[in-house]
Amino acid sequence: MAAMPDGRSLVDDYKGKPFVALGVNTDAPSDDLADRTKKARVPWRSFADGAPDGPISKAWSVRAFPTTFLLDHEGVVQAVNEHGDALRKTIDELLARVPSPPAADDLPQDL
Amino acid sequence: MIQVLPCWMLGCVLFLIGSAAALEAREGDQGVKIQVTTREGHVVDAMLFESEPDQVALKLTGIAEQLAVDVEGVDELRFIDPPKPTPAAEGETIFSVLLDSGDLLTGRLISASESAWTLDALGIGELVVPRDRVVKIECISSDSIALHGPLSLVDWDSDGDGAAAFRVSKRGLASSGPEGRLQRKLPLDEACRVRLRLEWKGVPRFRLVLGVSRGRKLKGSTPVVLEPFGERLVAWHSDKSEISLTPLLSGLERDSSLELVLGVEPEEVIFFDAQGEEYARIERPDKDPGGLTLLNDGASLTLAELSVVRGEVQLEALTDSDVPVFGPEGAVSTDGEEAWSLDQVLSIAGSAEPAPLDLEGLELVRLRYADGRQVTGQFVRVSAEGIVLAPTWFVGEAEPIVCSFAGLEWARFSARKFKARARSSKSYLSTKSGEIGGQLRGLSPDGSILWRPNMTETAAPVEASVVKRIVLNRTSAYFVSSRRYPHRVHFRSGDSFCCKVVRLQGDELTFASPFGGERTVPVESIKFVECNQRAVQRFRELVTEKEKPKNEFFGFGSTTSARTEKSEGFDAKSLKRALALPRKYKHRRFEHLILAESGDFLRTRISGWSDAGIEIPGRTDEARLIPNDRVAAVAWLGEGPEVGDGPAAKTSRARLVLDGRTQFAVEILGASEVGTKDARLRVRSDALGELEIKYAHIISIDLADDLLTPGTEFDSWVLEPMREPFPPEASADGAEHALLGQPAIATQGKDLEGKDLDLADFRGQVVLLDFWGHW
Repeated sequence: MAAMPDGRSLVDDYKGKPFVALGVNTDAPSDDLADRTKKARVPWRSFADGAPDGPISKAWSVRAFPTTFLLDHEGVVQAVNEHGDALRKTIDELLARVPSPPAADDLPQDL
Repeated sequence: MIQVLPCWMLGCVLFLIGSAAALEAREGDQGVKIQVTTREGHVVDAMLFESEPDQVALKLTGIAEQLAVDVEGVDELRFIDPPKPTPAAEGETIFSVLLDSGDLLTGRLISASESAWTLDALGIGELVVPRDRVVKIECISSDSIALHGPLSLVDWDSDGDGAAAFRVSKRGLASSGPEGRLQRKLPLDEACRVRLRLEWKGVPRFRLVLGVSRGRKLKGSTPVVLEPFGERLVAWHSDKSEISLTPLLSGLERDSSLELVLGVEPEEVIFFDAQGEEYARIERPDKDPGGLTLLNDGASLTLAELSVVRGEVQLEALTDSDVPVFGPEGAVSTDGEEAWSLDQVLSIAGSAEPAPLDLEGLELVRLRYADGRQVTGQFVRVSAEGIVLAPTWFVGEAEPIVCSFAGLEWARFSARKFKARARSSKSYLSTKSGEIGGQLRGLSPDGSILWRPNMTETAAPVEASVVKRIVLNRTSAYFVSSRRYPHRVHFRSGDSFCCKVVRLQGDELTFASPFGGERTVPVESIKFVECNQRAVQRFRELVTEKEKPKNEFFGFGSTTSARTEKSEGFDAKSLKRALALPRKYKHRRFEHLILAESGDFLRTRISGWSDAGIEIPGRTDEARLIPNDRVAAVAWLGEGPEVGDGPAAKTSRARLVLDGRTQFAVEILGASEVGTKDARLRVRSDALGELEIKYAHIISIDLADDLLTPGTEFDSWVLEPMREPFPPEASADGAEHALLGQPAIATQGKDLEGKDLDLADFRGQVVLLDFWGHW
């Protein structure tokens, strides 16, 4: 399986923080794909891209697997293919910049 | 066995404490002056008024209306100059009652039943306290002094001729201790000195109470009292072995008698005369209470029962022993033939194991008085007399009690709930007397502010004169993208806008700003333009590291060899000066100073500015291009209008601080699309004219005049760069990725289970996107 090696522990470690892991699955569509994914205990929801050269992979110019992108809260790519401690460090730094979610009554409904 | 004695101290005077304070609070409906700390942590001055149940009626400084505030929104009320409590009458016996909730009440003990004490509590009035909640009752009457350290020997010496009768008796304490009695006439006059030295072992702490014999009066009606409760004892001294009560007996008449009762557990008590010769030894107990009482509360003894009926005290020993004892917690017991009036009781222990309190789900308030009293209970309301609460020891069972404002220090509400609310609150009003968290509901050209404090549901007009600043988004979720707007234009008026420079043409600079689209401004009004945050960061590092910035350069990048090192000692200070006080060149009215990220700077004349970079004339005729990302700032040399002399300072009413470190003086014109997500503030800026600013972009609005003085922006920029920048530390293979620093590619699709999935939905969170496969 070509997936991020320490994904599961990462997801567990950042539980409760404004951090989410998503996948782009590049397997050919099949009936048991969801089951297999469940069995493999893949810890994130995945886009179904259909093939290693599917539309999402193409759009992101991904040719090697696994490839990981780290996006900050503004949706900007801040790291590519970082792993292990370097990745956690970057995530920590990015999390520090995430503004706390605006409460419903703090949204600009006033004035 | 139970014995009943009349109690001298009881049944006389009732406390009237609290009523005087209540009258004061009610007069003119002035309220009680307090300082409120809200759940969000804002602190503001206010007046406290009578309120509805579960509410606190407040008048915050600056808001004319009285607000009914849910106690959920309040963390603490701190009382400023509360009315003074009425002091206890002199000689009155007061008890302090410590409860298992940590509450501490003081007052007269009225009566006691098997299940409860009835107390005339200071500041509260008559109060029934369940006995199983009582940890300790201590006598703090005006006749008690606590002593620390073991005492040794008893030594009397007197230098006078008069004779006085001393009867020293020991109140039985331990079942085995020697007990005795001494009666002997000693000369006693005004110069008489009494030294009391006691010796025993195993007793760490004592309490010394001085009373007087029979009828509480000495012969000749001179009561003997001890400091701090009277003036008779001018000085007293104690160390490990000695208490010296020097002037204790001064003023006693000749032949007067003084009775001293030693309620301690001495191995032996010996009395010496002035020559150091033993003249007396305690031999047997004295049954007569009263007088000077030293009570041991360090020895371990048996728990006893004390019940009090009005005016009478009953003591029932729980021990098999006939000897009365005092326990470590002050428990009292007796052989059943003895009883003491309340003024002889030092402390009474309560139940050892009270039932646990169930406080879950209750909005509790804890009151603390300046003298140490403390009451905890479920908050009911604020009345004119004080704070009404149902004490924890009686929740749901008894009438709520009214705790007087007199002497009240603070009231704290339990913070068990509403923590989430505290975290999410961002906007607040900063006034001259504190901060009011809430929502801005309106802002009009005449400066009036409509504000809805978080503590209430209703908006109220605020006196603009007390408002210093309106902070709307302390942690804005709407930061302006530093990629789309990499520049900051700093105007000479002190305004600064984040923007993207579109072009520089002649005497006009055109830039696109998220606040007001594309604008063209004359360069005379500009002091400098910050470019490229990373370059600024790099430059700042250079300056702060005290690396010598290079001199004027003639090229960027690899052309380091072309640099000339004209002056060696060019430090950060002189660089600052060069930037802040630009020279005027004779032959060109406006030149530019380009500051490179490397610390180099270049005086030149920019001939063009585009996305590609800054174009400058080369030494030959051909133009050269300086890439944007190498430039930290572009400053305008020459003299523009004086800093601070712009019209901004004179006509503006407010200074807006926006996302992206934009801040500028404005005149507020009004608001549009009120109540929608697109709510906008209409303002007029001197630099940019009329603008509509989205509410979401506004970090704060400063209203105070003194904040409008523009000026020091440039200096502070050198020392303090823009917020951000955040250079991601990519790994080797990711560092050069084309998408790095770019917005994510819009990605929508279905997940493996066929449900819709959109990457944009996760905006606001850090997202890890992993391209993977089972293969």
